[in-house]
Amino acid sequence: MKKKNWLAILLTLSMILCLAACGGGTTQTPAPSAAPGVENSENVTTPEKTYNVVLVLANTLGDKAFSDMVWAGVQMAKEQNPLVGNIKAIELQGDTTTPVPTMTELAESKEWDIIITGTFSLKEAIMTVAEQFPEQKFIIYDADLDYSNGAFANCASFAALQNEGSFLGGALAALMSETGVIGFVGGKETSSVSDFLVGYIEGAAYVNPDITVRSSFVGNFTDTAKAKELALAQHAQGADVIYAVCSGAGPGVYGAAAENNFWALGVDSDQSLIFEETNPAIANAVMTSVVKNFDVILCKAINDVIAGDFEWGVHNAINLADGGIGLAENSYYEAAVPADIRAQIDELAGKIESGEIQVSTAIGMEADVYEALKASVN
Amino acid sequence: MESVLGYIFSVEFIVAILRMSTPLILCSMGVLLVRNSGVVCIAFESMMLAAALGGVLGSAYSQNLVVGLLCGIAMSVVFAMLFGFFVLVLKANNMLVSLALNTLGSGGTVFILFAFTGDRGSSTSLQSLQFPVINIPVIEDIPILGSILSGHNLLTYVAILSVPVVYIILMKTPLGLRIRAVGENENAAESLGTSAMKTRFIALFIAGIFAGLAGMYMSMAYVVAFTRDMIAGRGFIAIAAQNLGGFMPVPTFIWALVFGASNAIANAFQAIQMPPEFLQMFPYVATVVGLLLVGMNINHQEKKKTQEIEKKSRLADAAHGGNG
Repeated sequence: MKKKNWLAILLTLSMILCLAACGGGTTQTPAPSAAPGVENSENVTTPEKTYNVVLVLANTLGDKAFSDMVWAGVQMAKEQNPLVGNIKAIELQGDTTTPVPTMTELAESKEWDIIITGTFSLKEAIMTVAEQFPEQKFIIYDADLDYSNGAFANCASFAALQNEGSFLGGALAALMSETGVIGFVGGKETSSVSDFLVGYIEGAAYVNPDITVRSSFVGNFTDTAKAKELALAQHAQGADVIYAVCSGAGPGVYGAAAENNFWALGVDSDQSLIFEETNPAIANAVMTSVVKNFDVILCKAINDVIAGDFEWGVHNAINLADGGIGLAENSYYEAAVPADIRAQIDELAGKIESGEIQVSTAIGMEADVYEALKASVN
Repeated sequence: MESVLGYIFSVEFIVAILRMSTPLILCSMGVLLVRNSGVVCIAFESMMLAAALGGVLGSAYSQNLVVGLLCGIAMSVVFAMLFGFFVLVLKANNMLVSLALNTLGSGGTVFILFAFTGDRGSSTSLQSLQFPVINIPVIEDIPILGSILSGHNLLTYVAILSVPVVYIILMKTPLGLRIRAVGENENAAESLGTSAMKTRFIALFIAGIFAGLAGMYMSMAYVVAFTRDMIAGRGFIAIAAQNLGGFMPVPTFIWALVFGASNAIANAFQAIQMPPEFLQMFPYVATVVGLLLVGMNINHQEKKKTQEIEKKSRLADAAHGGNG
């Protein structure tokens, strides 16, 4: 029996560590001064209602990209607005069985005024729970719902048009390429990653119809070494600018670029800044990043809800014109890209904003149209 | 298509194969030693992951590569010793312990990373060190051959050296003889005064060092940062390479190269619109096909031996209750 006890202890220990490491949420209790009168019922000053905000993430924090940015937006709102009460992040770690129970529990607890959640992968779970709890407010990022006939009046969604941002990325890559071959390393070939690719191809082909775009997919978002190998294989086949749309595996592409003197394009948040202090060679190799400014969008949304001028039951497509997406115009961008190319990119951005250029989207695109587009530049 | 073929028949491609095979070779040499001692351990994934983190943390905080190296090896050896403690001392089931350790490795590394850096995804906020690239003088100037033989990471050379080293350990040293004896027949070895447990612990210890080097190659040579779950199944592929190579270092080394090559081919073809899902299964198909071939070969050989062995093994089973 003794050995079984030991095994049980070992298994339990590993489970606890797992939970402690990844499962738990990050709660920040409000500072006592933030909400006077709420704790103390005898206080005569009119107690102001505070808003508790919970963030439900499909994956995990710490990707230095999308998830971290969304959480930063919630934290920013907390700092700016004293009426934001508790904030908490729940990480679902890519587990497809937990979204519905987790959100149901949150809605049932009535503890949270706003549930912020998002990405396409959670869309169905959000729809299920939002329908069941019409009193619970949901703010959804990077996905949209069907609001026709007054459905989902308790929700509002925001999507940044990654295809428009990637169009600029593709145009920049094509203009900067000396070989006429550019690359794309994606995580998984999901509709949202494909949406990046579609914009990227169209942007590149717009400025150089003879461009070749090589695209590869890691198969996950964590295997940095594989991402590096894919980038190196593309580089060996001529690509001299490579766009990394693979979240946590992205540093593999940047490392390959730094070691072999080609350019990388980052995604989601400003990737150069992450490496600015720890690895300047990598920071210099990342020409710029196609950033989705969800931190600003979500922070504003929370403030608007508290101020009472937030519109529920609508979808907001945040495009280039709204500043929800665009290239990170940092010092690395200015150092890497000549002024005339930057001017051309600004001009293209203007054309997209004015509607003169219409960028296609992979979301809802027929598979054969998508494959034909990929084949047209290979 | 021409671009891919041009790449596949280029020097860079051979270099890519070596790069991708390095962690597999190193880890499979560890697997080989443990396997020869008669223990089946599939916890190498967690040993590599632990070392990948240990090396990054050690080198980042000390800014000394040797300290990083020692930290990395210490981490994987701890996992190897944990495995030994539970399986050899407490006689727990080896598969379950391996499973538990792999889970512990995946979660535990993130936990430790979070405790040190506050990050849960990667160690990009740390300035960790990298193993140097070695350029061999004179040889590096030879065309073609120079770029194949020279300019690899230090650990790639260590990986290739590890093959003769493990061969010598196994075949030419008293320790190797003890390891093989314990693996072949535990009771016979014990009857001659060799402690099976001690020998197996030593084998696990050395395997921990090899797995540690393999893990550190991932985070301190391939990429200069730790990312959660960055080993991505390479520990298991190394086990497959050992299984295909039998109990000998050179065939194991060759199979590790085959896996590296099949990965490299998959990566090369992805760039020209071969469906990625199809190409990603390449290494695994190679495993299945390889196991099939090896299995058929073993069957064939065993049939020959059956008659003489049958009698002996029956006797042994009766005496020791069908151990293992």
